[in-house]
Amino acid sequence: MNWTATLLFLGIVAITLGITWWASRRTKSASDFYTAGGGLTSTQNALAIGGDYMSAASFLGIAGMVALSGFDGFFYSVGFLVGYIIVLFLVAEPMRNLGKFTVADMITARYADQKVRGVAALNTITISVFYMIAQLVGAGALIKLLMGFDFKWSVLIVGVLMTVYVLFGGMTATSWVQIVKAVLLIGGTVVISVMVLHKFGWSIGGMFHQMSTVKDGYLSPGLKYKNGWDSLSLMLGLVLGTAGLPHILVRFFTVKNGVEARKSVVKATWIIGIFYVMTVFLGFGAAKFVGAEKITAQDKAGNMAAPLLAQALGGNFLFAFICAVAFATILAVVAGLVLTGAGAFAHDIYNGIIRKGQATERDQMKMARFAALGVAIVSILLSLGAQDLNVAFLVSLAFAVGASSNLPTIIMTIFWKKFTKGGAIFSMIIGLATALILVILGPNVLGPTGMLKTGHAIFPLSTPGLFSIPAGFLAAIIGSYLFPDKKSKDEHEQAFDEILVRASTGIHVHGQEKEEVPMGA
Amino acid sequence: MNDEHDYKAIAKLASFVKFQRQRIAFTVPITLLAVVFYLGLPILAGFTKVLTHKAIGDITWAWLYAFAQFIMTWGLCMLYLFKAKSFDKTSADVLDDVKTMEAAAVAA
Repeated sequence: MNWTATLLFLGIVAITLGITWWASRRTKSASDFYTAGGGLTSTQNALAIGGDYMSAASFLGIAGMVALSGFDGFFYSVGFLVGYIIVLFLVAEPMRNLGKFTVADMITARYADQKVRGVAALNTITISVFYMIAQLVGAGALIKLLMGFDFKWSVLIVGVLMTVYVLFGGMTATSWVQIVKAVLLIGGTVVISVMVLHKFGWSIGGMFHQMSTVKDGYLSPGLKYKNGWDSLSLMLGLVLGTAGLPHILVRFFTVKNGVEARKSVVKATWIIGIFYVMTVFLGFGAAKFVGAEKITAQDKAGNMAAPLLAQALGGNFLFAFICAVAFATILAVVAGLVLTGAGAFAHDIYNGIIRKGQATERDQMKMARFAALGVAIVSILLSLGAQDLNVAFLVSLAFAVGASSNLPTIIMTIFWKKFTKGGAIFSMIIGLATALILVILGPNVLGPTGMLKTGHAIFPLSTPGLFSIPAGFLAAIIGSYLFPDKKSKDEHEQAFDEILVRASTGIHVHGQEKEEVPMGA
Repeated sequence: MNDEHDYKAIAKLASFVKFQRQRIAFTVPITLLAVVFYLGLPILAGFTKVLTHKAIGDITWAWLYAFAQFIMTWGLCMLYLFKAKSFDKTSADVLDDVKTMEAAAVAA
């Protein structure tokens, strides 16, 4: 048991519970619960997006991956960042202008249909659970390293905490936990980066020179990804995945309009980009000052590289501090994921479908709380089978699923006139199914080191994106021809005109109804 | 759904058609170009050896290509922010036209 670390952990827990208590008193309506009442500023939301996005995968996973595999680990940093171009240019403003609480709201703005809503909600829940598995694996490794608890207990602690945040504090608590975490994470990473640079004599060229001798081929691609198709598939999933991640997309509903959503993305991209540049220092530092052997001895997949680097550089206090930051990172992301998954269940499936939109706010919030528990339990069970995998890699699977099942429908809903309700359902189901089946048939489940250890993978690539993303887009097109809308051509076109006008002008934005009255008059 | 606005008529407004065309002409080609530039990295890294050569000191082309993507992302973000200001103006014109149109409809 590391007492400094334990105290800092308890400090983080106390701060976040304080935020939750404060937020719970301000959470009165469903809108407060799902979107913090749409009242965040773009800077607050940018930090919260950063806090939501720079997960255990970014901090623990990439640092470990760069430390062990050199340049190939940096693929992740590039992919995670460039994805924001698609978010900003194509998705963020339409999402805010059309949606209310969930991703399904945005799609059903065009197709007011229960099945569309149900499938979209199912997608949201699946992607969020996938993403959460990665965070829980990181949490388990971390708590085990510090306190010696068993993996199961570690995961359970995180599970209970995040459920408390979401149950009582809703989006307000989640956002502020994410903001605090983003500041802590950037701060901690800057401290380590400066120390690493100092150790390398403040010379970038010198740093690369010293790293070139760590391992043969360390500074070139190909150390980890021998198969070009494998890295292409990974990278395609990363760049298109961000715009399909429900827990990121719902963050746009927490600001008042499309302009604020746009500003939040730009500010978030700066914050996130600066962080990803620093993953180079984390990874190089860990490789040089901790060493691959010691990193893998602690955690096979390299997930503990950053905390071990902190220990090597700054002794026990820095180690404990960085572990506490990583712990806060995981809590913040997991709270966002649980809230998103539970929101999809309570708002879309329970209120939208089962109660036909008639549920009281109290009922909805009660249901959201049950759903939060459900999402947490399922993720915990699944994470127990994924303990030995690198968390950045695990997250890349969630990205691939998001890019295959969500993104095609989001893009087509906004841009394609001939897209139909049937096309949307078909695309979401095919995208999701293809991605999941390829993961199961791939090396991570069936392979020699996979979850089932049968020793033989049927699908050769470790991520499904290269096939499942085109499958999702193709299914959108084919589905629209196979299942034309029953409405008349005129009605179909009118629904698209409405989407086009609302998405681009922001006329009739949810949460802005009051201001809108004079305009309609 | 909501019938406060005649969306079909708005979609036909000259100002709206122009606005839409402007936005698409800017956002879609740039997004596609950015994705192509981005995918160049895994393609060149996975199927050729060009990125393994040293560019500056011990820094290989792979790192320079990767860092160039950071510059691209930030640059495009700022460009979008700049362009979006003019889009907001056009969008305000559209909303003005909508008001005029709806006022005329009420009067008639």
